[in-house]
Amino acid sequence: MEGVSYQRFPKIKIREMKDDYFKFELRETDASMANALRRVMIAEVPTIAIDLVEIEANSSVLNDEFIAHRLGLIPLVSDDAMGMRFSRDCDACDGDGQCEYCSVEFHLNVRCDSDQTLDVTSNDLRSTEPRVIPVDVASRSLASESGGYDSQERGIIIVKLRRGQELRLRAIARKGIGKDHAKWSPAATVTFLYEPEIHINEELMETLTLEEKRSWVESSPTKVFDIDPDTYQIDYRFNSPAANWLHIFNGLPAFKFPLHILVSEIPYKVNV
Amino acid sequence: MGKQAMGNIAYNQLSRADTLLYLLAYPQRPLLTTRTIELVGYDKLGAGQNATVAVMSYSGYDIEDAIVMNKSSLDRGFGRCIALKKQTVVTEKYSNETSDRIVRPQNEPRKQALDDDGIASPGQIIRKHDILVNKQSPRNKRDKITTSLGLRDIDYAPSNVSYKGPEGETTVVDRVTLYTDKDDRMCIKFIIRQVRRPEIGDKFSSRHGQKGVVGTIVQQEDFPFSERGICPDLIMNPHGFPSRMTIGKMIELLGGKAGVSSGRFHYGSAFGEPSGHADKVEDISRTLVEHGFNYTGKDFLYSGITGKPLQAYIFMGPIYYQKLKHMVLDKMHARASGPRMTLTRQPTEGRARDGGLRLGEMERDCLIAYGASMLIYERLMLSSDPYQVQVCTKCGLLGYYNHKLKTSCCSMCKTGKNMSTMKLPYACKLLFQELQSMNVVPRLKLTEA
Amino acid sequence: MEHGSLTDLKNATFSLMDEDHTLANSVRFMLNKDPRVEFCGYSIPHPSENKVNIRVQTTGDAAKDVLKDSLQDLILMCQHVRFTFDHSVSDFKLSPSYQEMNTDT
Repeated sequence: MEGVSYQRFPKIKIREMKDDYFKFELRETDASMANALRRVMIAEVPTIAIDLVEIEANSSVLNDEFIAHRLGLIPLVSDDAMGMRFSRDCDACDGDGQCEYCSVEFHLNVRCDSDQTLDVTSNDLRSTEPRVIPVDVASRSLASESGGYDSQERGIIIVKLRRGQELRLRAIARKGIGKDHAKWSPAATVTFLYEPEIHINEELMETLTLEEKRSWVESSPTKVFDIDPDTYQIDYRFNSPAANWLHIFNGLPAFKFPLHILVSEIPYKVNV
Repeated sequence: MGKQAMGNIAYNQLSRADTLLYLLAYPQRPLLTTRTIELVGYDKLGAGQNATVAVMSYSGYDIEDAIVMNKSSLDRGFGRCIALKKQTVVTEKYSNETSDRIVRPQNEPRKQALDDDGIASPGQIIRKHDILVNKQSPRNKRDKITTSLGLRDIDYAPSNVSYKGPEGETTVVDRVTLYTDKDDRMCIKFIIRQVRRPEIGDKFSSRHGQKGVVGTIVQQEDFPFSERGICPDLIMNPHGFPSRMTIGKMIELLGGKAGVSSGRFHYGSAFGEPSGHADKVEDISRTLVEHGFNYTGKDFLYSGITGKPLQAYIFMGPIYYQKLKHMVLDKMHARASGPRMTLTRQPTEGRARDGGLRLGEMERDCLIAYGASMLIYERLMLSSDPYQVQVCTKCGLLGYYNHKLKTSCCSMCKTGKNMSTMKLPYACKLLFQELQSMNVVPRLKLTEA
Repeated sequence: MEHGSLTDLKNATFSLMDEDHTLANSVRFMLNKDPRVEFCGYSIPHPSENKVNIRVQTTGDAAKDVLKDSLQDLILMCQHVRFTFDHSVSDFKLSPSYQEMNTDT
């Protein structure tokens, strides 16, 4: 291709990776690329969320729409989202979006018979598809397998019931994207920042006394610099939690901007 | 907090039967209060939500105090409210000892919300014109019933009560109450519920009287974001500050930000208090710096559209925002043609009667000054109350048209010879007749006959 | 997608339906990298309409082809990012720092 001369090939380095947290560096590209990634992660990665609720009985204090809204916001394990169809272009069902290719059915049937208030949580949701369950339920069962199960941990509370109250419903979960409703957004937040490259003017630094150096280090509220205990030289703490606080470096002589992306809290794995 | 804000109104709010009740779906306790608020217990019943506000200009849809809202915040329940309305139906009793009756519905259109007892049941979704009570009234309400069997089915005419509300919103019957009033008539109270999410034109306010309507709703990815991943719930234009001098709001933002980062509630008083519950701005700044924020409360934000840093640091933090009860859904109104008043034949007035929008005197003055005569003619006559009259060119009074003889005739001159037809506003004809009844004779002199 | 242009092929405005800043801003970046492009910019004319107008003015080549090329480049770059990402994820999983992190929890 003729345009190859100006084509850029970004580099990626991973800093941190957990199930619900991810941080990586993206180098040799432009903000528009990083931003496109961020925007796609928030708004266009499909996930599964409850979209339709049919309420059979609801004598709880919250009204039907309220409960439906709360159910919609429960995150579901969306590993299967890529294999699923959007209900609007599913041809197996005539647009009602209730077939196996584009929907997962949930049932909730709870009744309080004791004098104590009963918490209806995401644990009480019964899924027809074992691979699509609430995220917290999945992580808890995973934790219990490895032995680290915390029985105190409760699910996401949907509603509380008192004696005699009942909640019975059928819910249909569908595939969707964050652009249509935030419940389909896979990320809690996605952000990026330009990482400052800091050059300390060693020559000028040498002229400072230890006392002055100390006060200079102290002047940064986020403790970005350190004094080496042996050489009394000032270091930049690369991994300090707030090392990215850009404007405090504004007075410093030189800094370039390699790009660094930080993506936090993707609550579950998504196959992009 | 004021009387216009939505929130929890009382602990028994869901058992009450108010004519109109607005509740907030997720009320919160304000991060920053005052001593008085705590003493009075105002923070016990939430009246708003702590919104992360960015004070900046965005998209131009935030001029004149309008605010820009984050769509994802709305999806997650910010500003969501429940509107409960009461509708009462009375089964009337008549002087001839008959009364209205409520009957079991047949499978008819618009009656899908009804139960077997003929009354809409709780939990039913209703639309405009759906019937709430399948009521029938006796055709004869005056004379004594002579037949021994009482009234038959054909002696009743339907007098259904339907729901009259805006189209497009899902409306649900929340509760139904049956009771008898002081005249021993059976009455049915319906509490009708709508859950609304904020839309463009809904009014919001902070506690400093900084009210504004939603100018636009923007996707979260287009919103500015900070390096920590914080994205505001709402954007407010900075022009609201200089002339209004609401320093309290800035202190609330600063104090709220320090409060969330250190995990405590304080008082928002400007001078600090000896109790130590309130902080001075200097103390707030110190807390902010401890948690890695700038001491001025400004944040370094990136544009969500391009990904480039914004040119200025943005004053951003939580402010308690209230949703006010003025919502477009209750106010929006438009009319093409519709009902008219019987007396003047002019369009009715007001939204409740599906009225027209008045082109008033001052608007008329503008059109006169501009010389738009045909527009005046159209607005004041054709779109209002045009009326064709027969004028006698001789005596100048209004005559009539005889449809049988297909001729017009002047009742004054007793002849149809000098008649002429013209158009004038019905209200004008009414004025002539009223003047005549007062012994004043208005005579029309026509230049073209 | 529709193509709104004049008789000369150098300058053209392209209207893309159902797209937003995500694509438009990246395409603008790619176009600005292209030496054949004299001017490029994009706008979303109205917030309630999902439409992007991209203006391309070139030094001589057909604007249509230049836009096509840059879209092609963008696809290539995305594929590259995806590949490098997968690669570095699998690398990272083998790295000692990740093993350490996992044993922590």
